[in-house]
Amino acid sequence: MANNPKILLIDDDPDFIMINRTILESEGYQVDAAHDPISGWEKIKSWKPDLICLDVMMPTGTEGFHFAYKVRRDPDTQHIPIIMITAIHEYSDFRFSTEDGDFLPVDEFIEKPIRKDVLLAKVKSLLAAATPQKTKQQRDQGIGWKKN
Amino acid sequence: MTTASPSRILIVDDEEIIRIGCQRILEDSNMVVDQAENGRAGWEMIQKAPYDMVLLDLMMPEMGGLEVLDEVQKYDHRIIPIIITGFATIETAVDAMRKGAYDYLPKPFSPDELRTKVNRGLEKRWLMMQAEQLREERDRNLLELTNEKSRTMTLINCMREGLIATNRPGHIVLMNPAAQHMLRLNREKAIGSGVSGLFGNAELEKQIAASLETVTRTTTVTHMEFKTSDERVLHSSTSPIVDDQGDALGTVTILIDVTEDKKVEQMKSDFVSLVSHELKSPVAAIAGYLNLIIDGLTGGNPDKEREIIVRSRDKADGLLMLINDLLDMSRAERRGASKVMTPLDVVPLLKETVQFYQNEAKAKSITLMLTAAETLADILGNSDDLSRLFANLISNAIKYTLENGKVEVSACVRESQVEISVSDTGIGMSREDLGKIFGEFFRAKNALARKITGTGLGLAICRRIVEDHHGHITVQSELDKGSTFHVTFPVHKNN
Repeated sequence: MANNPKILLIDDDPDFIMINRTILESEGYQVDAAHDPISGWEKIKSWKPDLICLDVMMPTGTEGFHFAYKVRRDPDTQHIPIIMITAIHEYSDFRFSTEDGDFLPVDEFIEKPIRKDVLLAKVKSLLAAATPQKTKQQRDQGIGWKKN
Repeated sequence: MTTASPSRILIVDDEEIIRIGCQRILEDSNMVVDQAENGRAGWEMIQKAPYDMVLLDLMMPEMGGLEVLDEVQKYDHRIIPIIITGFATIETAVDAMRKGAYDYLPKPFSPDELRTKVNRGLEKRWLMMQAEQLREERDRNLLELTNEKSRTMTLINCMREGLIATNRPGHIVLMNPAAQHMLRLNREKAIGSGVSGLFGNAELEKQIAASLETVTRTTTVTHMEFKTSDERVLHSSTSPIVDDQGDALGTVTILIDVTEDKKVEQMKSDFVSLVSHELKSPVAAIAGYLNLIIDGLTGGNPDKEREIIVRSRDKADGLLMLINDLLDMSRAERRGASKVMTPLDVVPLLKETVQFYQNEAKAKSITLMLTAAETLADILGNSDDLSRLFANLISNAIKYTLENGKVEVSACVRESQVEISVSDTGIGMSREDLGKIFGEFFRAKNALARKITGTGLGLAICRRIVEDHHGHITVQSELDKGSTFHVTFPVHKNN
């Protein structure tokens, strides 16, 4: 169990955390959660997760994006895959996609409400693609970073 | 010549033979003929009965022909006078005609001469009467026409809707002040100019031009909404003016300023999407929780399952609360006859509410107290609404106050206003949040506030209730120190 991949959920919605923690734990993943960016950043640094699920709206508008840029700029964390959870389409027809990877520093998008099989499939494939050997050179720096 | 009734002729002559002769000749022509043997008798008869014509001998005792002629002229200019002259010269007859006689008959005259001159005189009278009647009719019509036109113009000029009419080539022929104002145009300049380029709005110009082009027997009205340069929204409907043959004579366009309607519409749709979001989140969470159990992801752990069920129940409770608040809000919005406003004193209502929340306050070791005189001036209000208002304010204060804090409620009369204050030693609000708290679904962002449940509608409902009572609600607050809400209502009656 200790060697199982570690997934960090960052979302200010306790229901979201509870539900997704249960789903991920049922598959054997180690799960921890943070309710705000500050404790989220601390957990990334101390717990060193293998994957981050990040809420885009947390807790005000663009905070999720700023957080993702921060993860990408730090040499210690820039290799960690990020799944961005969005609820944007509830407010408008605007949708994100990974084709916007040139300026959006994340690997996958999942829209709320999250379906169990979609979440598990994306987590699995990202973890398989991400190997610890990936270096700073393989991942472009900060804003210019692109999904491979 | 046709007249409804026979012509009435008076013969005034002192020679009986002339009178009898004339009478006989004229009666043969179906005329009604009377005689008078001198001027005075003739004048009196004229004043008593309506005559169409009078035959006047010039040389008579008592009152001469010229004298009678004078009087007749003054009395009724429509009576045709014909002069009969015996010994007098042509000059006298001409003189009489200058004075208004229609014609003259020199003695001796033949029956034909008499008939000809009388008939011609009557014809002249008939024409005169006709002309007069027509003139009267025309004058009357003109008056009505002028009245009608000015009435229509007054109506058009007083319309709140803008009205623009164009002719076939698309020149403006009419534009009322409302249209002028809406399009910010100078009317004098606009009248007579072409539509193209005039309104500074290509869409409206296109609509008018298109309306001229697409005339069919079943004429259609085209509707459009457009923005003016100063960001107002106008609704325009244009229809062609069509003649009997179905040809376009021009267009008429009605403009309505719908800026305010648009704003309300936008607010409404914003509110609906806000409410939908607020309803959707808890339902999605409940569905997520149920799926965990259905999919067996709890690993049969009863504690975990119980936690999931309890959380779902809390979400459902929250939904119920939200729906109740929404209902309350729509109730607070309902105005007019359905809401009973009575003179009432707020003190008993405040006492009741404070009493009701004592247990909740005690559970958090919060001191909840009311400071008010036994009675205050009456306000005009709805007791259900006011109870809801006080309950919202007091329960809010308790909710956002930490243990061992204090919530003080007070009421007094100041400057013809009943003033109610609810003051707490709670977590307070940032200056930035203060402006937003009376809006729908706003909740203070605060690490402490996160744990406090609520729909985000409580203060929005308070605001609506207060506004409905013509009152004011304000708030003072300092972060980590506490908040004070002030509500004022106009005094209805002093007790």
